[in-house]
Amino acid sequence: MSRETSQEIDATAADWAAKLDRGLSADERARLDAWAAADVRRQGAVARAMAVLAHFDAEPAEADSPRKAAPALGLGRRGFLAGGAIAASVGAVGVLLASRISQGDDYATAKGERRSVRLEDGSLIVLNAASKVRVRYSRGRRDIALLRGEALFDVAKDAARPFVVRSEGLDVRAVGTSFSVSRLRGRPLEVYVAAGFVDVAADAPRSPPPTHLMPGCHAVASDTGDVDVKHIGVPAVERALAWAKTA
Amino acid sequence: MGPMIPAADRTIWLARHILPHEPALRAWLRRRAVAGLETDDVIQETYAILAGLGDVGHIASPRAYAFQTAQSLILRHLRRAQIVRMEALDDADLQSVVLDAPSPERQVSDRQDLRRLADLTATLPAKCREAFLLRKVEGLSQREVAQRMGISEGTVEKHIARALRVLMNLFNDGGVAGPEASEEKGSGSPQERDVSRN
Repeated sequence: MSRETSQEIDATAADWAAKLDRGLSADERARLDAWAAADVRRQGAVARAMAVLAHFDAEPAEADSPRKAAPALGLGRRGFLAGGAIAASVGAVGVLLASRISQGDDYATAKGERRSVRLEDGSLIVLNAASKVRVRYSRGRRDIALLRGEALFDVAKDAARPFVVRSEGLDVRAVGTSFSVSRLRGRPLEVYVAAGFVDVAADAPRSPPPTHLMPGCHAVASDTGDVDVKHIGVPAVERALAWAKTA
Repeated sequence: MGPMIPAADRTIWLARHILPHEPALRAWLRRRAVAGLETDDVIQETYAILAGLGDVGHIASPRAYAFQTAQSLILRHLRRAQIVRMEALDDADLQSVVLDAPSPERQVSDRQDLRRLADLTATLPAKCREAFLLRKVEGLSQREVAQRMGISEGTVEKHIARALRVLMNLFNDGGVAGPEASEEKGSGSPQERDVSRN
């Protein structure tokens, strides 16, 4: 029998890591232990596979983590709780409780003004200066139109009701996430993603498939509807969204 | 020996403190090609040792610890193979590699590695990528991903495994470390090159 190559070990280790990711039965656990016990390289490969998988967690939970920037900004992965953190961090100044939004309500800011709006589902909109949104909630959707300016959205998770921000013919769709959309005169539409998972798609028939954005992404939509995505990292996104802290 | 499969906190430690240094460690190992000892093997054994440590709280520099662990594996191999030219393994060189705090350039490079990891999911098949992102970025469980996508849990698990294989290979083939890391693989006869540096 020829020696098992490290690539073969990696492939099996990836299968095991995917199983570990959903939880093992006692029988599977025994099989994994037996497999790993036969070769120390297999043990390392499983540990490494799990580490690669863990690498993609937006905010790994480690108590002494030096990376506290995201929670401090209130842009945590759990959109609902993080939204609360934002409201608390601004001392509730300017937070408007909009409890009966249903048919389309407009919120706007003047030049030099910033404002936070808490929606009925717990989602938070932070409006930058000279900005305007229209909010329309229905049973199956949460529709927001960004009419002008820039807004940060901290979205309460609700898998049954997608949260869609529409602006300039683009749909920005999210479930339980934190992101901003800006529509500034003379500049292309921009989207920053601080946490969660966002799809950007043209609001038109036969449009190309949506562009998926991960945390740390900055997307710029051209006039032609192309979406240019750069991964600038979560800290850079937080710097770009720092204005929302002062609302 | 510690548990063979690391607990969640050790997995996070490996992901945060070892994985970012793996490209540098691989490049260093490749420059020290040792007959009969593949870089991939040393990497896997290094992870096994780090995963099995009783405690990592005392490790001030995980990067240095990983390099030293890999070096000890090479030394053990050389001893077993009764290769005597151990002075060729330049210990001073190891110290210079591992004991410096990461330079700003190095930190930037690590961040670029992360960015490339994120970009890499773009090459996955659409369903595979969707399942992986829903699981890892959106934080849904595999079962919830299955419900959301209208596919079986078994298929979600296969998508996750497939995505993971691709991401693991990114490190193996030098895709993360850049061109310097994608040098030769294997060699001619082992006797021709006991301990050498390219």
